[in-house]
Amino acid sequence: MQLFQAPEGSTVTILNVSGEEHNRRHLECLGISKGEKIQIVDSHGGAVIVKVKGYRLALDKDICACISVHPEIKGGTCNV
Amino acid sequence: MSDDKKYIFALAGNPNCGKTTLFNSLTGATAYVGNWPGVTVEKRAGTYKSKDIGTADIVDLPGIYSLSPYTPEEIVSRNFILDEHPDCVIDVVDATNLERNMYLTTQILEMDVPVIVALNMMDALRKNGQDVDCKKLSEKLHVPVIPVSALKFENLDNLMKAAIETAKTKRTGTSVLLDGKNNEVILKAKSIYIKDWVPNPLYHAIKDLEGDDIERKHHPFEFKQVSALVKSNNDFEQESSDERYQFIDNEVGPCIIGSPITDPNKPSTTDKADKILTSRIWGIPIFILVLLLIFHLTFSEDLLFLNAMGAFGSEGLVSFKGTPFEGLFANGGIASIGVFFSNLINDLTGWFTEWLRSIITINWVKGLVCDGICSGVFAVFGFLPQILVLFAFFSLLEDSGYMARVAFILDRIFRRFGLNGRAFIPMILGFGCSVPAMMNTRTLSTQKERTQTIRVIPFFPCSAKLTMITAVAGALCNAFNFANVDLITGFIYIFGMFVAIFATIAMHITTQREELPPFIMELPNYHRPQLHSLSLHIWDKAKGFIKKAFTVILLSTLMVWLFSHITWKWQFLNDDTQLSSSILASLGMFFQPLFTPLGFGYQISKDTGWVFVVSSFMALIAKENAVSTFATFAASLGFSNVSSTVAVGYMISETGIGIGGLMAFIVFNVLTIPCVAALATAKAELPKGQLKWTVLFWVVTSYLLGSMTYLVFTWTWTLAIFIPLLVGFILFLYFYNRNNTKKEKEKNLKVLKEGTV
Repeated sequence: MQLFQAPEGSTVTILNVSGEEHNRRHLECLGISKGEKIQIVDSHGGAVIVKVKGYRLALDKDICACISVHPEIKGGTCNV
Repeated sequence: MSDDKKYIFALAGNPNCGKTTLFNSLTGATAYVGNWPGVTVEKRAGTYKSKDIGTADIVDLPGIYSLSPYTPEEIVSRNFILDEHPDCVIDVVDATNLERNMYLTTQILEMDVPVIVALNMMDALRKNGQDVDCKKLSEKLHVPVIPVSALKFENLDNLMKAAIETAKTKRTGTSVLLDGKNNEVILKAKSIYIKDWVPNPLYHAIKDLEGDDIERKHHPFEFKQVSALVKSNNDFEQESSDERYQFIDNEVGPCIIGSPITDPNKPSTTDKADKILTSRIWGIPIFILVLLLIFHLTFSEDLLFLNAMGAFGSEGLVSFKGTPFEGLFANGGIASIGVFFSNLINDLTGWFTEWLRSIITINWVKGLVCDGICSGVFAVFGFLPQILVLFAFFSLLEDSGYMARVAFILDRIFRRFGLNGRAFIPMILGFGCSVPAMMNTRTLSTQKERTQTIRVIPFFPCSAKLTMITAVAGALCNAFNFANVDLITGFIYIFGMFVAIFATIAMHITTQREELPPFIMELPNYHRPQLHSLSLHIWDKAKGFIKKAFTVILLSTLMVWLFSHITWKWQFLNDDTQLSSSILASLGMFFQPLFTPLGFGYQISKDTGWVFVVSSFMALIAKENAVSTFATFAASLGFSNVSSTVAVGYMISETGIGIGGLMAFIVFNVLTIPCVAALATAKAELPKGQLKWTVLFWVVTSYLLGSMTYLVFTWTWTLAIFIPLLVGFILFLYFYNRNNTKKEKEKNLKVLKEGTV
């Protein structure tokens, strides 16, 4: 699923980041990269606030659509 | 022991990690600190001096997340470290967020420059029950690590001692990537740069392999060779970023001692506050309420509307009637702090001018000093308290961390119309002064977005325009018994913002068309405002304003007085009733007809009507000149020692201008070409050749909207024409946009299809 579909309060693992290279690279520096676990702090109307690497990052709807995530399975790791 | 060499140290680090605070603490400077990413957009230098330790020039650089810059202000930081060869880079790291901050550190270490890590905000980390094993961390990074607290001046001398020691050594770049699987290819790429004698070979090799755009431009020859080493569509960049973060997890992570007192899984105060402040329902109403409250507390003459609600009798709470302090509580209500002190200053300067008038005997000197200089300069001076109060409120907003949230909630609404929320930060800064606001557009990631934002920044009335708005609005209310000052001032501020948003959307759809850059922004923790830095900041603003009042504005008023008292034949006009034969008057009258659609052209009295035109022109030098010009004329015509509002009121009754004309005058001056300082900044920040279009945009917008304001306020029925016109324009934009989006989509599809064939 896309990042904006992830339920509020859940922790998800990033599967893939697509979109323009310029933006992808910027996201990578900020810690949004494949395999990273992030927590959805706030999500409504498509825009999302996530907790990544211990800080808060706000993302708009379009960029959220470029980030596909997988819900964290409790008590185990998910292999993708 | 001190040595004589003067070192140059650069402060580099993530945005909002405390570089500027450290800079201020080290150099005693008062550079502005805010709590949002992107406050510093330009490098600035200061000097650290200590008898025992030594002297060093400290350069504060804009914050960066990595050495592959995303926005123009980040390029400044990258280039400084690479090209200016500082003696040591002080990598400022937020100890409370090592994980992300260290990412940049791993990149800086790749350069051939002495590096020292300053672990900032250690006090905050320790307060939370944690600490960092600096010795261990230093062994892992192979550079000194010094824990500091820039805010509390902790350990700063040790930091400088270590930096000077480090600066004496030489250092070759190291990389955590050399322990990874791309080891060989990196060394090969590095040898290409070594062969060509390029400094920082390791850094360039890795950036080339990552496919960095700037490298491609700066070292095309080597870039080509390095690119040949790897297959296309390789994963080097992704792998390198993973390896960096792995290093941080595995090697840096264990250096943190203890576990946090506060449960990281429990919502923090910031999380709780954000639940309300960024809430979908409450976010916007709260922001609007905050703005209204700020304006009310700054401009109101009847605080909390107590008088309007009938809390006081007609005599007022405290009556100063008949005393010189009458003005303080003139309206019977409680004046806000800004208004109270403004009135106080007006009373005091009035006394002073009167005293001067009584001791000067020569007539023309009296005119020059009292009418020319004092009236003009003091008229502007009276606004200092209001400007400072407004400024303090906006500084509080910036310092608390709310600003980044405002950008986020506005982005959510305006993104669908083609407006990026990030652009609202420079726009809101425009309430203070257009100059730093325009410079802050460097934090935006595309040129088109920077251009359109620079163009609308003047529509956010700056503190200089505030003087004109309140003085004219105040006079208008008194003269016509129409509305009240806060209402008109508030209306103008909201009108300006509305025009700015509308213009940005229109430009985005038409001339500045592009795909909207994404909104990616760190939301810092809220913190209590730092009163010390806040007061320094306000003091700086006050100093700047006083300096401006006694230089630019004083000279301007002098010019106004002189040229309104001299004829073309260089005769001095002793009789104040003859002002209309002066040089300034004839120039004003020459341009006056142009302003007929705005209500201050042909309609108003020939003798003095040109004053509004002259004051608009003088405002191009500095916006405060609008008010000082009125005050100078009023004084020359015998209406001296009055507040600027009364002076404008006098000019209203002299010229016979109406409500429409006055409102148009405000609207025109708010929207038109900003002062020369802002114009120069716009020229520097805009791409080449864009300034003329920008000036044209300002002139046309202000002239059209000024005329509309005049017509609507004079003949309300004209709304019946303007509303359909506006709707028509919006529909035009809508269909234009739909059409073009369709075309662009088709084009993209075509490109995709051809690409696959």
